[in-house]
Amino acid sequence: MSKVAAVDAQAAVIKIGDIPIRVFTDDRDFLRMVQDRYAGFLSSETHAGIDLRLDLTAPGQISSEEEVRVASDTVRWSAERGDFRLDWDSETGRGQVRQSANPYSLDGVLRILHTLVLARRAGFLLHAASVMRNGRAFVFFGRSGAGKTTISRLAPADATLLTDEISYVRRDAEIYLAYGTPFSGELAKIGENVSAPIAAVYHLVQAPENRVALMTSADAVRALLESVLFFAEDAELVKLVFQSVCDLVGRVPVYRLEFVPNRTVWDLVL
Amino acid sequence: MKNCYIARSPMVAARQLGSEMVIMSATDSTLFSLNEVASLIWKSADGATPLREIVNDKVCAEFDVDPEIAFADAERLVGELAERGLLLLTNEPAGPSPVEAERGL
Repeated sequence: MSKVAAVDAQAAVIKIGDIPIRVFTDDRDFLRMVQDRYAGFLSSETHAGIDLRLDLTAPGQISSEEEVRVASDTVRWSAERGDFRLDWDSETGRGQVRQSANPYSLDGVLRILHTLVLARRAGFLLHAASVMRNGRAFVFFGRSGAGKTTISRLAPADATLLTDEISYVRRDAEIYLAYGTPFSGELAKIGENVSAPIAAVYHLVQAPENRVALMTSADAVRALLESVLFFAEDAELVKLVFQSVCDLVGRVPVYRLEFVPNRTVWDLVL
Repeated sequence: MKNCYIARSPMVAARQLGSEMVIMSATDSTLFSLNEVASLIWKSADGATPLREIVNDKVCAEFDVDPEIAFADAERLVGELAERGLLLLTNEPAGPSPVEAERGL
Protein backbone atom coordinates (compact mmCIF):
# COMPACT_ATOMS: atom_id res chain seq x y z
CA MET A 1 0.00 0.00 0.00
CA SER A 2 1.33 3.42 -0.88
CA LYS A 3 1.43 6.39 1.42
CA VAL A 4 0.35 9.25 -0.77
CA ALA A 5 -0.83 12.54 0.62
CA ALA A 6 -4.21 13.67 -0.62
CA VAL A 7 -4.01 16.82 -2.73
CA ASP A 8 -7.66 17.80 -2.85
CA ALA A 9 -7.99 21.10 -0.98
CA GLN A 10 -11.42 20.28 0.46
CA ALA A 11 -11.36 16.55 0.88
CA ALA A 12 -9.16 13.83 2.25
CA VAL A 13 -9.50 10.16 1.38
CA ILE A 14 -8.70 8.00 4.40
CA LYS A 15 -8.08 4.44 3.35
CA ILE A 16 -8.02 1.85 6.13
CA GLY A 17 -8.20 -1.86 5.35
CA ASP A 18 -8.42 -1.11 1.63
CA ILE A 19 -11.72 0.72 2.18
CA PRO A 20 -11.47 4.38 1.17
CA ILE A 21 -13.64 6.95 2.94
CA ARG A 22 -13.65 10.49 1.59
CA VAL A 23 -14.29 13.30 4.04
CA PHE A 24 -15.24 16.78 2.91
CA THR A 25 -15.05 19.93 4.95
CA ASP A 26 -15.05 23.63 4.18
CA ASP A 27 -12.66 24.23 7.05
CA ARG A 28 -9.12 24.06 5.68
CA ASP A 29 -7.53 24.14 9.13
CA PHE A 30 -9.52 21.11 10.20
CA LEU A 31 -8.72 19.35 6.95
CA ARG A 32 -5.02 19.82 7.72
CA MET A 33 -5.58 18.36 11.20
CA VAL A 34 -7.27 15.35 9.60
CA GLN A 35 -4.43 14.94 7.14
CA ASP A 36 -1.91 15.05 9.98
CA ARG A 37 -3.91 12.64 12.13
CA TYR A 38 -4.27 10.07 9.33
CA ALA A 39 -0.93 10.60 7.64
CA GLY A 40 0.10 7.22 6.24
CA PHE A 41 -3.55 6.30 5.64
CA LEU A 42 -4.31 9.00 3.07
CA SER A 43 -4.97 8.00 -0.50
CA SER A 44 -4.84 9.99 -3.73
CA GLU A 45 -7.88 8.14 -5.08
CA THR A 46 -10.51 10.51 -6.38
CA HIS A 47 -13.39 8.09 -5.98
CA ALA A 48 -14.40 6.49 -2.70
CA GLY A 49 -17.36 4.25 -2.01
CA ILE A 50 -18.12 6.28 1.12
CA ASP A 51 -18.41 10.06 1.17
CA LEU A 52 -18.82 12.01 4.39
CA ARG A 53 -19.59 15.69 4.66
CA LEU A 54 -18.27 17.12 7.93
CA ASP A 55 -20.32 19.96 9.42
CA LEU A 56 -18.24 21.45 12.17
CA THR A 57 -19.94 22.93 15.20
CA ALA A 58 -18.71 24.90 18.20
CA PRO A 59 -17.14 22.73 20.91
CA GLY A 60 -19.74 21.24 23.19
CA GLN A 61 -22.28 18.52 23.46
CA ILE A 62 -23.69 17.30 20.15
CA SER A 63 -25.85 14.52 21.55
CA SER A 64 -27.10 13.53 24.97
CA GLU A 65 -25.93 9.95 24.33
CA GLU A 66 -22.85 9.17 26.41
CA GLU A 67 -22.32 5.70 24.98
CA VAL A 68 -22.30 5.17 21.24
CA ARG A 69 -25.80 4.53 19.98
CA VAL A 70 -26.26 3.15 16.47
CA ALA A 71 -29.65 2.74 14.81
CA SER A 72 -30.81 1.87 11.34
CA ASP A 73 -33.89 2.07 9.21
CA THR A 74 -33.03 -0.39 6.43
CA VAL A 75 -30.25 1.46 4.58
CA ARG A 76 -30.22 4.69 6.61
CA TRP A 77 -27.89 4.53 9.60
CA SER A 78 -27.41 6.97 12.41
CA ALA A 79 -24.83 6.93 15.15
CA GLU A 80 -24.45 9.34 18.04
CA ARG A 81 -22.16 9.89 20.92
CA GLY A 82 -21.75 12.99 23.07
CA ASP A 83 -19.27 14.50 20.63
CA PHE A 84 -20.69 13.58 17.21
CA ARG A 85 -23.67 12.55 15.17
CA LEU A 86 -23.39 10.53 11.95
CA ASP A 87 -26.14 9.98 9.40
CA TRP A 88 -25.18 7.62 6.60
CA ASP A 89 -26.95 5.90 3.72
CA SER A 90 -25.39 2.50 3.11
CA GLU A 91 -26.92 2.31 -0.37
CA THR A 92 -25.49 5.55 -1.76
CA GLY A 93 -22.47 5.53 0.56
CA ARG A 94 -23.10 9.19 1.40
CA GLY A 95 -23.33 10.61 4.85
CA GLN A 96 -23.07 13.63 7.06
CA VAL A 97 -21.24 14.14 10.34
CA ARG A 98 -21.84 16.87 12.91
CA GLN A 99 -18.93 17.31 15.28
CA SER A 100 -16.57 19.91 16.64
CA ALA A 101 -13.11 20.37 15.11
CA ASN A 102 -11.64 17.41 16.95
CA PRO A 103 -10.02 14.60 14.91
CA TYR A 104 -10.75 12.11 17.70
CA SER A 105 -14.48 12.52 17.11
CA LEU A 106 -13.82 11.57 13.51
CA ASP A 107 -11.92 8.55 14.83
CA GLY A 108 -15.13 7.37 16.51
CA VAL A 109 -17.12 7.91 13.31
CA LEU A 110 -14.61 5.94 11.24
CA ARG A 111 -14.57 3.02 13.68
CA ILE A 112 -18.36 2.75 13.54
CA LEU A 113 -18.48 3.02 9.76
CA HIS A 114 -15.83 0.35 9.34
CA THR A 115 -17.70 -2.07 11.63
CA LEU A 116 -20.82 -1.62 9.49
CA VAL A 117 -19.01 -1.98 6.18
CA LEU A 118 -16.71 -4.80 7.29
CA ALA A 119 -19.56 -6.98 8.53
CA ARG A 120 -20.70 -7.40 4.93
CA ARG A 121 -17.14 -7.99 3.72
CA ALA A 122 -16.31 -10.94 5.95
CA GLY A 123 -14.45 -8.89 8.52
CA PHE A 124 -14.59 -7.14 11.86
CA LEU A 125 -12.68 -4.83 14.17
CA LEU A 126 -11.23 -6.43 17.28
CA HIS A 127 -9.94 -5.02 20.57
CA ALA A 128 -6.50 -6.41 19.84
CA ALA A 129 -2.92 -5.52 19.10
CA SER A 130 -1.44 -6.87 15.91
CA VAL A 131 2.09 -7.13 14.75
CA MET A 132 3.62 -8.19 11.46
CA ARG A 133 6.80 -10.25 11.40
CA ASN A 134 8.40 -12.03 8.44
CA GLY A 135 5.35 -11.32 6.29
CA ARG A 136 2.91 -12.85 8.77
CA ALA A 137 0.54 -11.16 11.18
CA PHE A 138 0.00 -12.08 14.83
CA VAL A 139 -3.08 -10.82 16.62
CA PHE A 140 -3.25 -10.43 20.42
CA PHE A 141 -6.70 -9.81 21.86
CA GLY A 142 -8.03 -9.38 25.35
CA ARG A 143 -9.92 -7.18 27.67
CA SER A 144 -8.67 -3.79 28.79
CA GLY A 145 -5.49 -4.27 30.83
CA ALA A 146 -4.77 -7.73 29.42
CA GLY A 147 -1.51 -6.53 27.90
CA LYS A 148 -2.16 -5.46 24.30
CA THR A 149 0.06 -2.42 24.57
CA THR A 150 2.63 -4.34 26.64
CA ILE A 151 3.05 -7.13 24.11
CA SER A 152 3.32 -4.56 21.32
CA ARG A 153 6.05 -2.73 23.21
CA LEU A 154 7.92 -6.00 23.81
CA ALA A 155 7.83 -7.04 20.13
CA PRO A 156 11.21 -7.85 18.53
CA ALA A 157 12.96 -5.07 16.67
CA ASP A 158 12.22 -6.63 13.28
CA ALA A 159 8.44 -6.58 13.91
CA THR A 160 6.11 -3.99 12.40
CA LEU A 161 3.30 -2.62 14.54
CA LEU A 162 -0.10 -2.79 12.85
CA THR A 163 -1.94 -1.49 15.91
CA ASP A 164 -1.74 -1.68 19.69
CA GLU A 165 -5.47 -1.16 20.16
CA ILE A 166 -7.91 -1.97 17.34
CA SER A 167 -7.10 -4.75 14.89
CA TYR A 168 -8.62 -4.81 11.46
CA VAL A 169 -9.43 -8.36 10.39
CA ARG A 170 -10.81 -9.20 6.99
CA ARG A 171 -11.10 -12.27 4.81
CA ASP A 172 -9.49 -12.25 1.37
CA ALA A 173 -10.38 -15.38 -0.63
CA GLU A 174 -9.27 -18.27 1.58
CA ILE A 175 -7.14 -16.36 4.07
CA TYR A 176 -7.66 -13.77 6.77
CA LEU A 177 -5.59 -10.60 6.69
CA ALA A 178 -4.74 -8.16 9.46
CA TYR A 179 -4.40 -4.56 8.33
CA GLY A 180 -2.63 -1.72 10.04
CA THR A 181 -4.89 0.94 11.55
CA PRO A 182 -4.43 4.51 12.75
CA PHE A 183 -6.41 3.63 15.90
CA SER A 184 -3.86 3.69 18.69
CA GLY A 185 -4.00 2.90 22.39
CA GLU A 186 -1.61 3.71 25.20
CA LEU A 187 1.37 3.42 22.89
CA ALA A 188 0.02 6.52 21.13
CA LYS A 189 1.72 5.31 17.99
CA ILE A 190 -0.36 4.68 14.91
CA GLY A 191 0.14 1.44 13.03
CA GLU A 192 1.87 1.00 9.71
CA ASN A 193 -0.41 0.98 6.69
CA VAL A 194 0.40 -2.57 5.59
CA SER A 195 -1.34 -5.93 5.77
CA ALA A 196 -0.36 -9.57 6.12
CA PRO A 197 -2.02 -12.99 6.39
CA ILE A 198 -2.85 -13.85 10.00
CA ALA A 199 -0.64 -16.73 11.18
CA ALA A 200 -2.06 -17.02 14.69
CA VAL A 201 -4.35 -15.32 17.17
CA TYR A 202 -3.57 -15.13 20.90
CA HIS A 203 -5.94 -14.53 23.80
CA LEU A 204 -3.84 -12.53 26.25
CA VAL A 205 -3.88 -13.32 29.94
CA GLN A 206 -1.28 -11.88 32.30
CA ALA A 207 0.10 -14.63 34.58
CA PRO A 208 3.11 -15.47 36.82
CA GLU A 209 4.75 -17.51 34.03
CA ASN A 210 4.69 -17.86 30.25
CA ARG A 211 2.49 -20.58 28.83
CA VAL A 212 0.71 -21.11 25.53
CA ALA A 213 -2.12 -23.55 24.82
CA LEU A 214 -4.34 -24.10 21.80
CA MET A 215 -7.95 -23.16 22.55
CA THR A 216 -10.92 -25.27 21.52
CA SER A 217 -12.92 -23.74 18.68
CA ALA A 218 -15.89 -23.03 20.93
CA ASP A 219 -13.76 -21.34 23.61
CA ALA A 220 -11.94 -19.31 20.95
CA VAL A 221 -15.20 -18.09 19.40
CA ARG A 222 -16.62 -17.16 22.82
CA ALA A 223 -13.48 -15.27 23.79
CA LEU A 224 -13.14 -13.49 20.45
CA LEU A 225 -16.76 -12.37 20.38
CA GLU A 226 -16.20 -10.58 23.71
CA SER A 227 -13.50 -8.51 22.03
CA VAL A 228 -15.20 -7.73 18.72
CA LEU A 229 -16.19 -4.08 18.30
CA PHE A 230 -19.77 -4.00 17.32
CA PHE A 231 -22.17 -1.15 17.82
CA ALA A 232 -25.18 -1.90 15.66
CA GLU A 233 -28.17 -3.74 17.05
CA ASP A 234 -28.90 -5.16 13.64
CA ALA A 235 -29.76 -8.86 13.46
CA GLU A 236 -28.36 -9.43 10.00
CA LEU A 237 -25.02 -7.80 10.81
CA VAL A 238 -24.77 -9.65 14.13
CA LYS A 239 -25.20 -12.94 12.27
CA LEU A 240 -22.57 -11.98 9.70
CA VAL A 241 -20.02 -11.07 12.37
CA PHE A 242 -20.70 -14.32 14.23
CA GLN A 243 -20.15 -16.31 11.05
CA SER A 244 -16.92 -14.41 10.29
CA VAL A 245 -15.53 -15.09 13.76
CA CYS A 246 -16.39 -18.80 13.45
CA ASP A 247 -14.82 -18.85 10.00
CA LEU A 248 -11.60 -17.24 11.26
CA VAL A 249 -11.37 -19.80 14.06
CA GLY A 250 -11.77 -22.57 11.50
CA ARG A 251 -8.80 -21.27 9.49
CA VAL A 252 -6.36 -19.79 11.99
CA PRO A 253 -5.13 -21.32 15.27
CA VAL A 254 -6.22 -19.44 18.38
CA TYR A 255 -4.09 -19.81 21.51
CA ARG A 256 -4.47 -18.77 25.12
CA LEU A 257 -1.25 -16.93 25.92
CA GLU A 258 -0.43 -16.53 29.59
CA PHE A 259 2.54 -14.25 29.94
CA VAL A 260 4.78 -12.26 32.19
CA PRO A 261 5.54 -8.81 30.83
CA ASN A 262 9.05 -9.32 29.47
CA ARG A 263 10.54 -10.13 26.08
CA THR A 264 10.66 -13.89 26.69
CA VAL A 265 6.96 -14.09 25.84
CA TRP A 266 7.85 -13.61 22.19
CA ASP A 267 9.70 -16.96 22.27
CA LEU A 268 6.24 -18.56 22.47
CA VAL A 269 4.83 -16.74 19.46
CA LEU A 270 5.00 -18.77 16.26
CA MET B 1 -46.95 -30.89 25.11
CA LYS B 2 -48.52 -33.16 22.48
CA ASN B 3 -47.75 -32.86 18.78
CA CYS B 4 -45.05 -30.34 19.48
CA TYR B 5 -43.09 -29.12 16.46
CA ILE B 6 -39.91 -27.12 16.84
CA ALA B 7 -38.20 -24.77 14.40
CA ARG B 8 -35.01 -22.76 14.71
CA SER B 9 -35.66 -19.04 14.98
CA PRO B 10 -34.48 -17.00 11.98
CA MET B 11 -33.10 -14.49 14.51
CA VAL B 12 -30.16 -16.66 15.54
CA ALA B 13 -26.83 -17.69 14.07
CA ALA B 14 -25.44 -21.09 15.01
CA ARG B 15 -22.31 -23.09 14.32
CA GLN B 16 -21.22 -26.59 15.33
CA LEU B 17 -17.79 -26.22 16.95
CA GLY B 18 -16.36 -29.55 18.02
CA SER B 19 -18.94 -31.26 20.20
CA GLU B 20 -20.72 -28.00 21.01
CA MET B 21 -23.36 -26.09 19.12
CA VAL B 22 -22.69 -22.41 19.74
CA ILE B 23 -25.70 -20.18 19.14
CA MET B 24 -25.85 -16.41 19.08
CA SER B 25 -29.06 -14.49 19.42
CA ALA B 26 -29.06 -11.85 16.71
CA THR B 27 -31.41 -9.66 18.70
CA ASP B 28 -29.24 -9.14 21.78
CA SER B 29 -25.92 -10.88 20.86
CA THR B 30 -26.25 -13.33 23.76
CA LEU B 31 -24.28 -16.57 23.34
CA PHE B 32 -25.55 -20.04 24.16
CA SER B 33 -23.88 -23.40 24.05
CA LEU B 34 -25.61 -26.75 23.57
CA ASN B 35 -24.22 -30.15 24.51
CA GLU B 36 -24.29 -33.13 22.14
CA VAL B 37 -27.85 -34.25 22.87
CA ALA B 38 -29.23 -30.72 22.73
CA SER B 39 -27.25 -30.10 19.50
CA LEU B 40 -28.90 -33.13 17.92
CA ILE B 41 -32.35 -31.82 18.81
CA TRP B 42 -31.38 -28.36 17.55
CA LYS B 43 -30.21 -29.73 14.20
CA SER B 44 -33.43 -31.73 13.85
CA ALA B 45 -35.64 -28.70 14.55
CA ASP B 46 -37.02 -28.38 11.03
CA GLY B 47 -40.53 -27.34 12.03
CA ALA B 48 -41.98 -30.43 10.35
CA THR B 49 -40.86 -33.32 12.54
CA PRO B 50 -42.70 -33.85 15.85
CA LEU B 51 -40.49 -33.58 18.92
CA ARG B 52 -41.54 -37.11 19.95
CA GLU B 53 -40.22 -38.44 16.63
CA ILE B 54 -36.95 -36.51 16.99
CA VAL B 55 -36.42 -38.00 20.44
CA ASN B 56 -37.28 -41.56 19.36
CA ASP B 57 -35.52 -41.60 15.98
CA LYS B 58 -32.51 -39.42 16.66
CA VAL B 59 -31.76 -39.08 20.36
CA CYS B 60 -32.63 -42.63 21.44
CA ALA B 61 -30.96 -44.07 18.35
CA GLU B 62 -27.69 -42.32 19.14
CA PHE B 63 -27.61 -42.25 22.93
CA ASP B 64 -28.42 -44.97 25.45
CA VAL B 65 -31.34 -43.24 27.17
CA ASP B 66 -34.83 -44.16 28.31
CA PRO B 67 -37.30 -42.74 25.75
CA GLU B 68 -39.68 -41.26 28.33
CA ILE B 69 -36.90 -39.64 30.35
CA ALA B 70 -35.33 -38.37 27.12
CA PHE B 71 -38.65 -36.92 25.98
CA ALA B 72 -39.23 -35.18 29.31
CA ASP B 73 -35.71 -33.70 29.14
CA ALA B 74 -36.27 -32.65 25.54
CA GLU B 75 -39.55 -30.91 26.43
CA ARG B 76 -37.78 -28.99 29.18
CA LEU B 77 -34.93 -28.04 26.83
CA VAL B 78 -37.11 -26.80 23.97
CA GLY B 79 -39.24 -24.86 26.47
CA GLU B 80 -36.14 -23.05 27.74
CA LEU B 81 -34.83 -22.39 24.23
CA ALA B 82 -38.23 -21.07 23.17
CA GLU B 83 -38.32 -18.76 26.21
CA ARG B 84 -35.02 -17.32 25.08
CA GLY B 85 -36.31 -16.83 21.54
CA LEU B 86 -34.01 -19.41 19.97
CA LEU B 87 -36.70 -21.95 19.02
CA LEU B 88 -40.24 -21.56 17.76
CA LEU B 89 -42.81 -24.05 19.11
CA THR B 90 -46.05 -24.90 17.35
CA ASN B 91 -48.75 -27.55 17.57
CA GLU B 92 -48.87 -27.91 13.80
CA PRO B 93 -46.07 -28.64 11.37
CA ALA B 94 -44.71 -25.52 9.70
CA GLY B 95 -46.15 -24.86 6.24
CA PRO B 96 -43.99 -24.28 3.21
CA SER B 97 -42.16 -20.97 3.08
CA PRO B 98 -43.70 -18.30 0.80
CA VAL B 99 -41.03 -19.05 -1.82
CA GLU B 100 -41.71 -22.77 -1.71
CA ALA B 101 -45.47 -22.15 -1.88
CA GLU B 102 -45.00 -19.96 -4.94
CA ARG B 103 -43.03 -22.71 -6.62
CA GLY B 104 -45.80 -25.16 -5.79
CA LEU B 105 -43.57 -27.15 -3.45
